[in-house]
Amino acid sequence: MGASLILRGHEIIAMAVLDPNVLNPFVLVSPAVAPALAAVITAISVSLSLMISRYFFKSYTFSGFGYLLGLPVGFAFLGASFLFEASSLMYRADPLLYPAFFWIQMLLQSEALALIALSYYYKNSDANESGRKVRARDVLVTALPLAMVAIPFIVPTFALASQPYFNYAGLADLSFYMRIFNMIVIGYIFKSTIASLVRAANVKLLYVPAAFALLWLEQYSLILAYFDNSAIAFIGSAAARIAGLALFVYIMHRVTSRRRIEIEARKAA
Amino acid sequence: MRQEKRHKLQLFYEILCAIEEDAAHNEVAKPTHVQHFTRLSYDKMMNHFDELEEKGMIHRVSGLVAITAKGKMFIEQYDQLTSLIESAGL
Repeated sequence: MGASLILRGHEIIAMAVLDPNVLNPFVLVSPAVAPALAAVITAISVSLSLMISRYFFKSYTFSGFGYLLGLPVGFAFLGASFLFEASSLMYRADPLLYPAFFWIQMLLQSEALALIALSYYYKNSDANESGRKVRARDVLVTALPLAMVAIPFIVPTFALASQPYFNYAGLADLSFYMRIFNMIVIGYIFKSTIASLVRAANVKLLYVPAAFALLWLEQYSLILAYFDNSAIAFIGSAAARIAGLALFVYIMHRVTSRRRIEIEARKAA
Repeated sequence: MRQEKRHKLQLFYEILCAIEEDAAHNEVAKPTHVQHFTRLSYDKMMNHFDELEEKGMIHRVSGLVAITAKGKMFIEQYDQLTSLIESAGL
């Protein structure tokens, strides 16, 4: 009797702590469909991310251009972050794995976007620029992804060490700031791609900024879902994510296949 | 006019394209024609020829030069790379 009361008390504490509306937004969807929906969205997102990563990895291994490395690694990290998002949903009843997977997902996502942004930063940075100011800026920009690894690890670890359980609401607040960081980083990438578009004066290059705009919209929708616990905002974020990644794959595929056709036509002539 | 510094990959690409273009009519290309297309000094071009031959992208026959299947593959891959980078806004 006493043991069962203790167990009930533990369950009540666990339920109060595991507020389903705070961390993984998949719990906003009906529990009957959430696992299937998560499996479908995750499978599509991971496949698309890995396809993009493969395209850029081939380019990197062929050219050896260092600045390109951020793209395959970034998109691979992005794919991994979606896997951890689904894993945190699977272990949502586990008081340790649920927040742990959530934080690995947040970490990987911010790291991925920072790495992609670094590729654009190093491509756009003027090689002729020199001096202490430029070097300080380079160090700051390179250190930023490292900080994004450190913050999501240190804060929950500290919280776990100082309290017997995670302060979920507090950690969800931190995730909000990380999503703001993601939006700023995607904004920088968007600005860089628009600058390339203007330089090249080629409207066909509009697809890539559009893809990044959709990824920005995903983060924005997740912030909306964070504030009003709206399942619609979350579904919107998933749709924006898949549309953005699919657009990216479409561009990569179209560019490489079109070029192949052009080469074959040139050979035939 | 000062010419923009070219990356080694770009130089290889331009040399191989010039060879392919010139060899389209005679199977082999004349180094002087390749030099004209690529705007390189003769010495530098010969150094690049040595490197390309080492990599199996060209072969030389009695002072003339021809592109190999590997060289043609390099042109294709470089074309795809530049399109991909350009399309990504990089």
